Amino acid sequence: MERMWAREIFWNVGADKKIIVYCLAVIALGVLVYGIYRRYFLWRKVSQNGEAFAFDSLGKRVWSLIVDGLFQRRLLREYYPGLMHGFVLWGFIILFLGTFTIALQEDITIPLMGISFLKGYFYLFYKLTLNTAGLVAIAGILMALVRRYIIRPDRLSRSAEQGVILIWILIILTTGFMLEGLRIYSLKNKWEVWSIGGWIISQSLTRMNTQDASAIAAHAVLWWVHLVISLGFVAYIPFSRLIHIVTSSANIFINAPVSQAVLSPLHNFEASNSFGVSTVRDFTPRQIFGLDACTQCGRCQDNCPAHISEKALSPKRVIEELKAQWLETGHLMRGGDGSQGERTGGNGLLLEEDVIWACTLCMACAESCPVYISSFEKIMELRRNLVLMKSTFFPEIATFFKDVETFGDTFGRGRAYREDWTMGIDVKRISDGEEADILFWVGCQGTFHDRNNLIAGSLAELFKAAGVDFGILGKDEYCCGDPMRRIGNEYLFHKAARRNIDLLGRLNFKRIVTYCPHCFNTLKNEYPQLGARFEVLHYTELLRDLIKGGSLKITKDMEKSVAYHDPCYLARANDIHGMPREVLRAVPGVKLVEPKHSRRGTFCCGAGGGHMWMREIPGKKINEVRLEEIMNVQPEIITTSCPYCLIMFEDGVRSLGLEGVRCLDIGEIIRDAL
Amino acid sequence: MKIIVFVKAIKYVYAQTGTDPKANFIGPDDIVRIINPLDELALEEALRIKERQAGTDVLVISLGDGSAEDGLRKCLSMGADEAIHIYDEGYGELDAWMTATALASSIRNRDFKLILCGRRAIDDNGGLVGPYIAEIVGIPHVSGVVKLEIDGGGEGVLVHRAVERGNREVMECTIPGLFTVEKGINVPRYPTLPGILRAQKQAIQRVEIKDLKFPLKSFGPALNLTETISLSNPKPKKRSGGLVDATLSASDRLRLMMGGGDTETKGESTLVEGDTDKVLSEIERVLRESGIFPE
Repeated sequence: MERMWAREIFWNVGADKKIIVYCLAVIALGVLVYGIYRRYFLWRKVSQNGEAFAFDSLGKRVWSLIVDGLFQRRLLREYYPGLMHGFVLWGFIILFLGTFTIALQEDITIPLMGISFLKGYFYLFYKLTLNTAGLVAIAGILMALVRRYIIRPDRLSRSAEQGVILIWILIILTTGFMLEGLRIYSLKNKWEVWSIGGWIISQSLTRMNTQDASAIAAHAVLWWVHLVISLGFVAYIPFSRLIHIVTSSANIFINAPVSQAVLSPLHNFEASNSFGVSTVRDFTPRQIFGLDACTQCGRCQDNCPAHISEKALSPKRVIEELKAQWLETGHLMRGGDGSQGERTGGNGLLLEEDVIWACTLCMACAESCPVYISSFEKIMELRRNLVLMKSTFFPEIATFFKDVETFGDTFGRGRAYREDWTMGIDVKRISDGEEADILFWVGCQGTFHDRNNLIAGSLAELFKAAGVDFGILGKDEYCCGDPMRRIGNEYLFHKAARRNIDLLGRLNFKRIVTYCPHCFNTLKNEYPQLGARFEVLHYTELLRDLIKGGSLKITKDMEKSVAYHDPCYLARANDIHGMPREVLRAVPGVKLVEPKHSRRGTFCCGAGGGHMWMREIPGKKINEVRLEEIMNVQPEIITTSCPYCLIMFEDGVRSLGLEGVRCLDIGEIIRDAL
Repeated sequence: MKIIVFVKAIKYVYAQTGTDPKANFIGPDDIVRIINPLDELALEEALRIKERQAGTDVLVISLGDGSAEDGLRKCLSMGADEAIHIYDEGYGELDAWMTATALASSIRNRDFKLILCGRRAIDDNGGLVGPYIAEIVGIPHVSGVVKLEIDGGGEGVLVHRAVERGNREVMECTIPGLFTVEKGINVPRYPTLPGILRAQKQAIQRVEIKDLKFPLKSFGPALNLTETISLSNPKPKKRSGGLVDATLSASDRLRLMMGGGDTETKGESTLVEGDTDKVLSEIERVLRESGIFPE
């Protein structure tokens, strides 16, 4: 009995038509391949900065492709759009596998081995699966239509192409079900109840008393319609936003392992005469490829602190504008014209200066992008060009550069004052030739800032109380280089890094522990670009180890609600967000409350990207926006583990006139609890 | 047009954390070597003239030890065309007259239209070398220039000098001439990376000071016109405390008071106090009443 449960492939159409189907399919595929080939020219040839794609860390790339591409990990951070897209994607994957299964049987297993398997229980399972997939896909499309045209979130636009594609897919799916329904109605096979979609339609046709002849005729026509619009869809892929099927997945593969915490170095700059990006052709192929993977979903924009504070920057528009210029440049190149695409910024810049300077390098855009496009990376390249080639920046930045070069620190205070923060604390100087287990890298903020040097002092006292064998560089300490790098001055960064690496190489210590997350990130992840390799910890990790190991004994409790703000360069850049919380929970009575944006999704304090030294730019103040968000969970204490974040919040508490809340560093909380 | 710019690589003492009383408690960490900021303004002015007038060359000359060479390289990275380093290991042994004699000798037989330098070096605040050079070379000079324009014919310049209370003295001067510049004339450019890299490869001509040709047979500190008898530190100045905003916390107020904020003024002046909005509207009212803001 079960052997009968199957369907005749090409029923009512004629198996002899198979050759036409395959011809049409080949044509559609040919158009697809041709379209991608044309696109390939744009991906590879527009860039004249010919770094090829790298293919190291193959395992990591494939893993990201599976987890983020197939299983939509980043998209699923938001339920509605995540499920919506997942329904369509998986619906299509399963339907495609279904078609492939038929071809497998008809063209391989039957002719070559005489085996057919689409029958019996397997057939029922097959039909149920495909129908479910189709219905789920239709649900996804309807969700998409509702979201884009009725709910209308800010970050989505409504162009004709988007509507056309959604409707096109809907028609493909519904015609598919109609065909199934018409066939089931005509053949009246009881087992087809498992083809739920088609079964429902055939029941409706029964209720409408449809004539058998009409059903058969309709089926014959609709079959070709469905084929043509489906194959047409395939052919349309490279000429529409549907190309993201190819480019977004490929971008995951190409860009997922690229660490956001590390900016690309300038190699061998003595031999170059051009730095940063001033035309679209200066981007590398890997960077350009990211432009083509964007589907304007807008998550980057929704998570950008500058955009949320109404500044000129929208990471989504950055990608859109650069993409438009890239396409136009490619188009002109193909025409043999030497000219470049139209530039949106004034003064021949690719982007407006406001946009370039508004970025705080917090990396939220790259973190939120489902397909690993980094908007800030492109802004950074433009910044480098402004700083290194055009010397165009706010005058206070010129002063900043000169101060660092002359005095060796970001405050312009000077080597003579570097040890003042140690007044009253007896600390070893490793630079004098003494050895120590740990080098405590204080950083410019901890050394010179009135508020932060109290914290540096607290940390030194904590280490002493725990019996840690540590020392400092003292007067030999020099800026790590991170601020200069993130403002765009790769040359000053290089000089600072080179100097520090040479010095550190001559000293005797095993590990470096830093106070500031920026120093931590740079020493750990960026100094290897210049050949150094140190073991670097952030102090929260050392504190955690000391508390766990019993060297630091917490004796007092603190009955307060505490909100921990994750610094960008700790949580997002280096995935460190558990350890600080462990440290805080070691103090009895502490009630941790989490603000809306936390851990890897943390919201920048606003000081990054050189903004600590730049003027206020039009828009709301990022630190105030973040503070208001934190205050929503009503903490009595706001704590963090970064000197920049701390003073941004103290400033914000003052300027907003907030009462009843204190800002403390984790080190201070632990010191008070000993 | 050929422009010569003299720059001095000064020892800028920014701190006094040394332990030797004989050295005035100034230790090696307390000193940084920089180009005298006013000389940087002079160079920037020369570079701007070069940008406006085709065919202009800028030659930079510095007298001093190895730091003078670093300073010259910085000048080259900003855009100077040529650099000469007059090597002298000493610092401060030659007085203004001997320094001017050496510098003037270095440019004898050179063709130029303008000599520019800072009005004074901020390490000794002398202000003499520029005018001395002009006298030795025999050209007119104007000091403290905050604006310089070359007239159409190229035979003279129009300069502005800043005098008190924002007034300007406008003068005409024939060229060749020497002009010392004061703060406010311009904001120096920050060099581009290609400029820095190019400067690293440019040759700097080095001349030993004893090889310069001098009008007198001998040269050296023995011929100084002035002699420094002693140098001492200033006595600590009594700081007057000021009124600080009572809404700040006690620790903030203490910190501000110890930092020496002074809100009292002498003579006829308007003291404005209060929160930011009030202060701003008061300032606006005063500016309108005085006619600086239009009604």
